[in-house]
Amino acid sequence: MSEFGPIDDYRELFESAPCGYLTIGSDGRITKVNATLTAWTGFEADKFVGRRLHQFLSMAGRIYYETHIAPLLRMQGFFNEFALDFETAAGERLPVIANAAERRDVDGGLLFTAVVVIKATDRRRYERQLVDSRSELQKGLASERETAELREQFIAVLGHDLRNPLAAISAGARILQRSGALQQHKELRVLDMINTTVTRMSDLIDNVLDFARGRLGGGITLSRDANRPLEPVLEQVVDELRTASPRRVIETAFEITEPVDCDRTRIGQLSSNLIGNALTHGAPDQPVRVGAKTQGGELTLWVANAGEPIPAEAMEKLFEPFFRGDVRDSRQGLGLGLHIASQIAQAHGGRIDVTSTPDETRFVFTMPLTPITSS
Amino acid sequence: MDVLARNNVHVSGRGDRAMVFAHGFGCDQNMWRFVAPEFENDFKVVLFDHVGAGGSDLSAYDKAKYSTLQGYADDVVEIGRELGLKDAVFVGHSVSAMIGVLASLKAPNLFGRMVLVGPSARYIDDGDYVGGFSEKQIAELLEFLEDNHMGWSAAMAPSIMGNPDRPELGEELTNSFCRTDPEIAKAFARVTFTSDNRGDLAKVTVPTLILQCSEDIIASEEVGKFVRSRISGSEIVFLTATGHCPNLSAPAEVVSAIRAYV
Amino acid sequence: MAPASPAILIAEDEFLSRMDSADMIENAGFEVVQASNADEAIGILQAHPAIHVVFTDIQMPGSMNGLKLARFVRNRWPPIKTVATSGLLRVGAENLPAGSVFLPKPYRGAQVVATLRETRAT
Repeated sequence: MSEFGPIDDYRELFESAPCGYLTIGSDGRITKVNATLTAWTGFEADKFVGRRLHQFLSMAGRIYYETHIAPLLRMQGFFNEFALDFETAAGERLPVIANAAERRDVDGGLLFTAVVVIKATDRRRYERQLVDSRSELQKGLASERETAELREQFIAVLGHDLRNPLAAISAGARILQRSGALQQHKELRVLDMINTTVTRMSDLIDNVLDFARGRLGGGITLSRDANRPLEPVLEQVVDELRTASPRRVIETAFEITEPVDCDRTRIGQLSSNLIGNALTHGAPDQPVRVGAKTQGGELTLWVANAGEPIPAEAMEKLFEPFFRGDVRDSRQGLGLGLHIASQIAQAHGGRIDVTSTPDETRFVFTMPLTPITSS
Repeated sequence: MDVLARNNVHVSGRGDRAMVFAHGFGCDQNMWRFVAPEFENDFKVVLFDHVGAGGSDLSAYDKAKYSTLQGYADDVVEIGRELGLKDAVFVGHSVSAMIGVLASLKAPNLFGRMVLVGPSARYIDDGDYVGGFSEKQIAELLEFLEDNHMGWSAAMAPSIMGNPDRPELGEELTNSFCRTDPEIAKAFARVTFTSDNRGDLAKVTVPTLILQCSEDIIASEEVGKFVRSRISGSEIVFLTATGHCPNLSAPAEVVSAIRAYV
Repeated sequence: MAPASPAILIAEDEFLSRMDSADMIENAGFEVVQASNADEAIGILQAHPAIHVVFTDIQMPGSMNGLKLARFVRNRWPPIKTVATSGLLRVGAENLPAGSVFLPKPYRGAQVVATLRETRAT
């Protein structure tokens, strides 16, 4: 019980409340202000009474009050949680959060408006920081997108500029072959090797650019088509590899009986990488076995070779980029083949599993026949 | 694009002549709720929201188009044409006053009379011209708008139905009072407060009435008098209402001023 | 004297590729004329009235690329069709003049011949 009487208790509550309190009369002029607000603003009560609220706000606050707060207050009778900036007597900014409510008589006539004001320096600063970092983020995203587009274009142009001269070299070899002017076995062999070397170069370019696209750009994009058959693509891949390695045996068993919704070029690339890998690392005197079938809503494609098993520590890193295992052969390439194969597998919603024993090393690619879309 | 849906157009009342109400910066057509119904007996009353405000179609907002007031004026002309309006009365509040001026210049037969409530041809001071604001103050305003839109959605869902003090508001008002997309609001603020239509005033041929409030910090008396002086044949009425929104704070005064003029 | 077999004009700046395409197309029974860019192609077309199809790469040095050449040919000599090819772009039908066709690189010899035959027939 305070030393004041009951009415004075309320007065005390009003004056020293932990918030600022104002009442504004029906003519829009301030009638009451509590001690807390006078303390915060540095203006005595007599400076407030008879004035309008907007006179104590920053200019921005005034405009905002006139165009947003006052109309809303008039239309719905209250306004909660709006930010205001008071200007203190010392000329400093006092950020607050305010609630306002109108009080009307039985006929609907306005009696007064009560405004409660809470200091919100920290909260407002926090919110401002959030807004600032969000707009930084958005700017960053926009420029990221721009850079990514430029990179995509660069990769496309680079690929084209690298492949064009290669195509010309192949064309040259074809012209010589067709002319029939080269008869010697050695010369014909040279022409063959020009072709296979060009193919190797072309695959390298594909892999490097895919890698660049995957790491720097938007990832491997697919253009799926369920209507075109996949087996001919696989047959062609095997043909090309047989031509490139005439002394090696590649056995195939393809049984694709259902349509596969995939990017055939990419699946061709994946198989070429897996088979190429088997040829490079498998026992040279043993066949590489390749098979594919559709079953249980999935496409399964496997490549198996004989030879030394993959060491345990290599198994973990197989699909990482630039992983080359033991450097035995300068023809091993950049170590991107398996990595890109796994990217292609992922892009199709599938995966590649590998087992390796002294009997056999086997890579198995599985993917759903139709893409699984999540709702 | 359905113009009437895009701008959330509402037509009511009956009469040979039409009266179009255009809301100003910061709100939507709801701000006419104490004024517009008073004319329904004699006029076809047309209410709408500028794109970005109220119930307008936000997807129609095009940054380039609405980077000048002309974009908004074009919409007004489109609405007028869609409704087949001729010699209508245009009542424009705040920035909509200039939007109406631009619309009348683009479609000369659209309006027969214009009432500009709290107009300003330019808000930023320029040499001898007193608009009322400095560029710095406008920049602060734009920043300030962001501070209030952080919590905008929270404040914008008042439960009107549970407001026993205001029974006349009725149930049709849900959480749509002065609802604006924060980004669009900021852009509209920039367009409004950086606009300069002083040069357009002299071209106005439609009879025009200016309603000027006292103690309006957004559009002071000086600014109102300037508009009056540049539109030939125009009249100005000084309201006793204070503040920038007399259509809300003193609707009766606004209604009688309009009625006396049309 | 007009050539008995239909004449194809190849526009391609890469020497070996052009020679290879020319060989393939000649072996398929067409008569072939070669140009290394659009300006040369137009010069040849103006002098050589009996050309039926223009087979052009899109990326070429000079005043025009293959797409502009296709449009030029269509405007100036409407009966002459164009087969446009590129390793860089994928051109849709809406960007080609009426009657022209796009063949993406890399292509096989048989594809070129088949496309030329089809185009000539329309």
